[in-house]
Amino acid sequence: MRILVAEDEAITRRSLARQLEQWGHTITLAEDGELAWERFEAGGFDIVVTDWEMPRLSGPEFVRRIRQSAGAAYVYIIMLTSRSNKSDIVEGIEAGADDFVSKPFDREELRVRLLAGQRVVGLERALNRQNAELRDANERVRHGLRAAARVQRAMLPQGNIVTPRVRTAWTYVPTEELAGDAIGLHLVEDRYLVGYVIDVSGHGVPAALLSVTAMNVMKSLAGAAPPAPGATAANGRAPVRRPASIATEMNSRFTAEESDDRFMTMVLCLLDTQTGQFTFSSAGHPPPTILRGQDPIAVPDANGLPIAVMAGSEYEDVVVHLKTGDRVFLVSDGILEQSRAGAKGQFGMGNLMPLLISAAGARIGSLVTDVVDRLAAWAGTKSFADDVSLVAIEWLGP
Amino acid sequence: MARTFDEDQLLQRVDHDLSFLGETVQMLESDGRALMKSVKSALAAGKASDVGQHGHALKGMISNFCAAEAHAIAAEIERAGKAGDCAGASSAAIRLEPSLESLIAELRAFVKAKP
Repeated sequence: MRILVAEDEAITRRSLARQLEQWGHTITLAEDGELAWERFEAGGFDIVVTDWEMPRLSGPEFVRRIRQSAGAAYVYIIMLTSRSNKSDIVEGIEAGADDFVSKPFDREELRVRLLAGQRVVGLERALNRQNAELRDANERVRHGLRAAARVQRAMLPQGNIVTPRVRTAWTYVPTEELAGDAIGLHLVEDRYLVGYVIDVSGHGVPAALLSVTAMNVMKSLAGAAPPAPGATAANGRAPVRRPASIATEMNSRFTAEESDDRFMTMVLCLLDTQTGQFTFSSAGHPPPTILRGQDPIAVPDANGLPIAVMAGSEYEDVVVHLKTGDRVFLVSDGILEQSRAGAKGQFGMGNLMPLLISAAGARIGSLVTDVVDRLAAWAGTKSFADDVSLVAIEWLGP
Repeated sequence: MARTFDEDQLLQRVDHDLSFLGETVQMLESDGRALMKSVKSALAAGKASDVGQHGHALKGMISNFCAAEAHAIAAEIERAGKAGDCAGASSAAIRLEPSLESLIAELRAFVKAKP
C-alpha cells in the first residue's frame, strides 16, 4: 500500500515510518498538515495516517480537504490521537476519518487497523475496476443500439408519398432507442398504395430485430422489392398481392418458435389509387379508422389472429370503397393504450377520434405531428410507455 | 533506584531494536530539549496557546519512551497552556526539565549498557 504519514512529532513519525516499511508499505512523510495536503494532492495514496494536532493545518481539517477533493479512488484514513472522548471521535468521523489509532501507537493495533483499511481499499479498487468494465460494456452496447437504431430508421418510409391521387403522412416514435413497431408505405406501379403498421410484442433488441425483419419481408411481399426470380406476371414484375394473402404469407414465415415466442399484430391495407378501392386485412390489430369529412365510417374487423401465434391461421380481406377526400388512419396501440400518471384510463379512441375529426380540414402532414403533441400533453410526458406509430392516407380522387 | 521509564514496555515497543532506540534517544536529546526551550520561551512571552502546543508535542515525544512521570508532567503543561494558565504551566515546566534530563541520561546509559 502507498501510505502518507502526517505527523509533526519527529520520533512518532520516524517510528511509524520504520514500522510501516517493515510491513512492506511505501511511505511518504509530512511533518505538518499543509505539507501533508501538498503531498496528498500529488496523488497516488491508498491510506493516510494522520495526527490530530499539527501546525498549520489540523488533522480533521486535512481529512476534510481530502474528502472534499473527491478524487476518483477512495483513500482510507486513520487518525492518530490521544483523544478518547466521544465528541472528538464524532468530529473525526464527521470530517471523514475511517478509523482511529491511539497514541502512542501500539504495533498490533496499528497492524489490524491497516488490515481493515487494506480490505476496504482493495474492495473499493475492485469495485472501481468492475464499474469501469461495466461502463465500457454499456458503452459498447449503446454504440451497438445506436447503430441498430440507424438501421431501423433507414427501413422506414423515406418521406411521404404524394401523387395527384393520394397523399400520405406518418409518424414513428420509439419508446426506447429501438422500437418494436414497424410501419411501411409503398407505392407499387404508381397505382397501388400498400400501407401497414406492425406491433411486435415486447420491447428492446429482440422485438426490434423482429420488426426490422418484418419490414424487410413486407417490402418484398408488398411488391416494393425487385421481382423475385421466377415471377410470372406478363410485365415481369411480381403481381400486387392482396392483404390477406400477405398476412397468410407473413404467418407462414414467422413461426412462434423462430420468433422467440414473440408475436406481432398487423394491420395492412392496399389502396387502388385509380378507383379508391381500399382493401385491408388485420392480424390481431385494430382495424383502420376511416373518416369521410368529419364522419367516421363503420369498418368491420377483419378478426385475424396475430402473426406467429398459430401456424395455418387464415386472414380475410375487407373491402371499402373510398370517396374523394376520405382519410384512413392506421394506429399502433402505443397511441390508444397510453396512460397518464395519477389517473385512470387510456388515451383510447375516445381522445383520438375527436382529434382526427377536428383536424378534418388540416393537412395530414401536420395532423400526425399534432396527434403526437396532443398525446404527450395528455400523458404529461414525451416518454411514451410504448412505441407510437401512425400512418395516414388521404385519397384525393380518381 | 527505580527507572524513569518502563524498560520491558520500551523494548517491546521498539521490537528490541536497540540501534533504533539509540536513534530515537538522540532525537529526544535534540528535539526534546529544543521543545523544552520553546516552552520556556513561550512562557516568558506569556503566549499560553504556544505553551499548550509545545507541551502537546513534548508529551507525544515522551510517550514513545514509556516514561509515565515525564509524560504526565508534559500533559500538565499542555493542559495548562491550552487553558491559558501560564502559572500552572510554568510550575509544571520547572518540574519537567530535570525529569526530561534524567530520562535522557537514563536512556543513553540503557542503550549503551545493552550488548
